[in-house]
Amino acid sequence: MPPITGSVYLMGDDVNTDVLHPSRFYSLSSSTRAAGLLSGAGGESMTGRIIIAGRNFGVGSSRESVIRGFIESGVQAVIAKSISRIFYRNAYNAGLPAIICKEAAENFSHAQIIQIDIEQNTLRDESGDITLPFVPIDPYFLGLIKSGGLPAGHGWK
Amino acid sequence: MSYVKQIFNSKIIGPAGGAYHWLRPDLVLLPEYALALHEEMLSRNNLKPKAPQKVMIVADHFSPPSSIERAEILSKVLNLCKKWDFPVRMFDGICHQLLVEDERAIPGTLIVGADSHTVTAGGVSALAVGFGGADIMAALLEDQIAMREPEVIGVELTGPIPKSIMGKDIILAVLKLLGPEKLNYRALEFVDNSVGGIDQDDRFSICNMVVEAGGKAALFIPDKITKKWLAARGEESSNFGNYQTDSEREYVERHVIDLGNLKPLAALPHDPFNIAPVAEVAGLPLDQVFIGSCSAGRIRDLAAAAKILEGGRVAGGLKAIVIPASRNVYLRALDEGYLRTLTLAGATIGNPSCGPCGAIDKGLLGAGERCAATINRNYRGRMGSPDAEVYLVNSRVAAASMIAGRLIEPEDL
Repeated sequence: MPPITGSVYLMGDDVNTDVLHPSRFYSLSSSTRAAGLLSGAGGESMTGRIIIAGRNFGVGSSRESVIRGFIESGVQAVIAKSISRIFYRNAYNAGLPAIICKEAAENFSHAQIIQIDIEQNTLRDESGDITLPFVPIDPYFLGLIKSGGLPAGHGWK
Repeated sequence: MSYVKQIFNSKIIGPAGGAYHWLRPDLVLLPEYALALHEEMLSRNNLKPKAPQKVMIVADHFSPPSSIERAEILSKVLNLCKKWDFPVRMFDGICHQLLVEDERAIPGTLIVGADSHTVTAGGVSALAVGFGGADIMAALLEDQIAMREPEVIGVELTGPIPKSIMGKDIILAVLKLLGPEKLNYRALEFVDNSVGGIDQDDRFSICNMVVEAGGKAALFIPDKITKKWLAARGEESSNFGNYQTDSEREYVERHVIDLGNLKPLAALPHDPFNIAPVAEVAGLPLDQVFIGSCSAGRIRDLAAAAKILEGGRVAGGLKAIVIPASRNVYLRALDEGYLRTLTLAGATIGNPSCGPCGAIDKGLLGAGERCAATINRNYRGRMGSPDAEVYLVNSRVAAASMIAGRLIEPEDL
């Protein structure tokens, strides 16, 4: 798998789904869902972003409109100290890498360009000065990323 | 072996890769909003449920729909179910209450649902786990779901239960004890050794909120209270399956909570873990009080509220909303006279549904408003404006607060 390169969007601890994507943006329309990420993210573009957060990221609802909102607004990956179980599964089911790394939030800054190497289990900054290992992804979830998410992996086109 | 592990092991059908196994579920729950996101894929591929006898599809979040878009979303789900010749539970109540009223939800079953509060069914000693819709599509179409065996934390509940204490206070005490992260990916097992035992409706309230700590599941070891619930549902046999309930159970952690020391608790804005005794926030003026939701909209909640509001009057200018969790709860509250009492006192009764919880239906809050609610989450925006405040409390405190127009314990009215 080629490395993922993107600009960091930094967040704190305990960011829950009602803040990440309020239920009023639940919709069958992808443009409505995309507009809902962080209620519009204060006008900042999320295209190509890598979200880095603290502990307990994504706690709360199982609504898949949340994870679709991430993908449809262009987020490439999420990295956090810890990630709430249902959010974690929804991310991989939709083909979005969700990575657990305790040191990322302290070592990278907002809008910095970083690279995720899924094969090598590492995060690094553009200069290569900082390289951080992350918790290896379980083969079950690696399989989901490689197949482009759960529906595609099960042949539901 | 823990009860959770016994259930988990008995449902394994094969490896799914890495630490994951394919498990065979006994009951599969799909609320309309979760199914709707997959309707297009299902219709286009002409896919059908593999084991429809295990499935429950519920219209409860858009019950009835409050916008044109939601009406059209529900319509897509209804058309799909019509094609499947599958009966939808239409506006019968919140899916999690319908689950525990269902004869298929019995001790030892694996229940999976496309909503985080599926954990509520741990109250009937099922291993009940919430997922996103894609995982539930595997359960629907392939009769299997990928799961990793959770570590299990054991909690023994002891002591006499003070009259002022309800399930909400017990789970808030548990959350306070364990903190916001310890339960992620783990399951909780409750042993009820309290004097007289914890009311079945309170057990549902307790299991309901374990997901606020990221918990995968919570269940009560089945006992005579479980048997009573099953008997009340009209089931003659109280078969708990081939599981051992009294053997030595292995847990990664063990805790004991003496309920005798508990006082009514509140979760303060904007976090279910921001917990303090109600006494510490008593007196705060309120704009709205809501009794309902899959967390605490059951007959025990309505009975407690009616007892406090009997002959009383909702404070002037306060929006007091009560929503029974299901059609059955609604009917029983009608028969017992609770709805009449609440209505006479000035509360507004909504139809069985999620209501304003999740900022879905009528009863939303505006900026600057403060609400006491028996729901499970008080995140910013959970009940409407991100600039509103929600205090999570038990149904007795909520009812007393309806009369006072401010946060108060019934004993201080």
